[in-house]
Amino acid sequence: MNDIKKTKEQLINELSELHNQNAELKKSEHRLRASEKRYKRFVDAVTDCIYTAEIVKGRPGRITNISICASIIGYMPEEYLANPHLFDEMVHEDDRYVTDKQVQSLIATGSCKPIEHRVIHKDGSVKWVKKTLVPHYDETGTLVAYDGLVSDITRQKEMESRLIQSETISSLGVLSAGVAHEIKNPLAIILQGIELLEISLLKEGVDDVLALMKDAVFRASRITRDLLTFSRENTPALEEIDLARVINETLSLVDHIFSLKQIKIVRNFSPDLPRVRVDSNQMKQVFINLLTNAAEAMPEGGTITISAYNSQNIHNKKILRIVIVDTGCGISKEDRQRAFDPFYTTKKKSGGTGLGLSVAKGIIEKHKGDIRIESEPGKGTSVIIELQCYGNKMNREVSDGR
Amino acid sequence: MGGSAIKKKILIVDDEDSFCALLKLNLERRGPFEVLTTSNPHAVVKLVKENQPDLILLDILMPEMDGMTVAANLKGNKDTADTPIAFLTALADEEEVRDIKGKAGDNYILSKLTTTEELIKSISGILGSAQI
Repeated sequence: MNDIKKTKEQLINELSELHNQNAELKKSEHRLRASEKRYKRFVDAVTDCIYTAEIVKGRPGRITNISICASIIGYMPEEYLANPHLFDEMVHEDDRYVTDKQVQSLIATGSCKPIEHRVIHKDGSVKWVKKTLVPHYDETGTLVAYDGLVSDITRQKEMESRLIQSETISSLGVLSAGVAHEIKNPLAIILQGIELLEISLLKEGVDDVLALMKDAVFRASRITRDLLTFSRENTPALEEIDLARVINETLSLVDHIFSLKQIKIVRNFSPDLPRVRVDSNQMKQVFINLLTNAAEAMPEGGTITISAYNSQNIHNKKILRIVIVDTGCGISKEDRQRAFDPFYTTKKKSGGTGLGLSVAKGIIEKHKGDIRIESEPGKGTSVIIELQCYGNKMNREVSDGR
Repeated sequence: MGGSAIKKKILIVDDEDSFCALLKLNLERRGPFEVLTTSNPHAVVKLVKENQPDLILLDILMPEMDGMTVAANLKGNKDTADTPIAFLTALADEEEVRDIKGKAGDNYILSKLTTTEELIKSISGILGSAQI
């Protein structure tokens, strides 16, 4: 009897203990759910992409979990989960070796360094990302998965490359100004020598050689001239002007050459153009360079359309946009990427110096503006310039006597 | 230019002796010119006084004395003030041309890096207008 009572008491105690444990477990579960929710909210809120990929038999497997990271790569989590290869496919073709190596290093050694690589956004654009991987072990110490953190570093990369370019340009500038001055005099002597030979030698065939030599002298001379313009570190002499006037003045300079080449000019200026603060001489230089390029892209003739209108940039700031569109041969992707590099030219034979667009870019950047090219081979080229506006008030007419 | 037998006298001032010598030969062989040269900018006023050239082709960037100073010296002397001067410059990037134009006053500006034919055209133009 006593025994039964004892056992009963024991049972009750155990039951109550169990009850308590159950309550505790429920609380824990609740806390865990809350924590998971919090984690998910956190993961979804960060602009970086966080994901988990499994490792099966020592090889990278499928993505099991991924945060919403549409802003970086454009795809939604469902798309990754539906297509196990998508994550690898979006890596830029030339960078797949680097990404594969990172995972292999993680599997082999349990650690790997963060890497930087390119991915192709769903919209087709190229983005730079930084990827860090963290290993995930099960209780037996086997590597079963890894967590990845992908951050968008496109802007940083762009700034880096711009910095490198501007450093190259400024050190080149100092040197080239000096060289340009020094080279012109020997060139003048060579030219005089050739001119003298032309009237002194009458042997057939020599004339052609002398003509080639003379062309080379003029080409070298053009390079020094462009170098000098290019190297000028002058800050622009800003004045508030009507840019349409500057464009029209530039067009009158090149008009005769264009009509000879069967090139038609279409002007498309909106009537309410704001005034901009620019150095009109430098801007003329920009337009001459761009118009010359456009004309050279159309040896058989064509149409150049110059549009100017009010717009907004990505920061919602008021800008004046000028677009120069030609109907010429267009530019390949490779050439387009290097078009603004100093000395890069596809027109060496016809006397190109590779400085026209570099000069234009330098000037536009000094005006805190933006210049870019859109083009496809065979479909013509558009050059887009964006300049900041300083309100559209047509301030007191500043008469500068011109 | 016509078939005038009277040769126009031109003085070239340039610190590069070989440039002077070659341009002299080119001008004399192609046109009715008698060309004197000097690479010494200090000697210019004296040379002009003695030889009374019809035109002076004057380099701008010379180490000993720049062309602008030589021109000012010539203009400041009554015996040489009326001789037309053309600056002969190797640099013709637009900004530099603007800069030189600002300083050149009434004097002419010619490019060193053109053909002799072009140069002679310009010289004839200057001599023609100078005679009026």
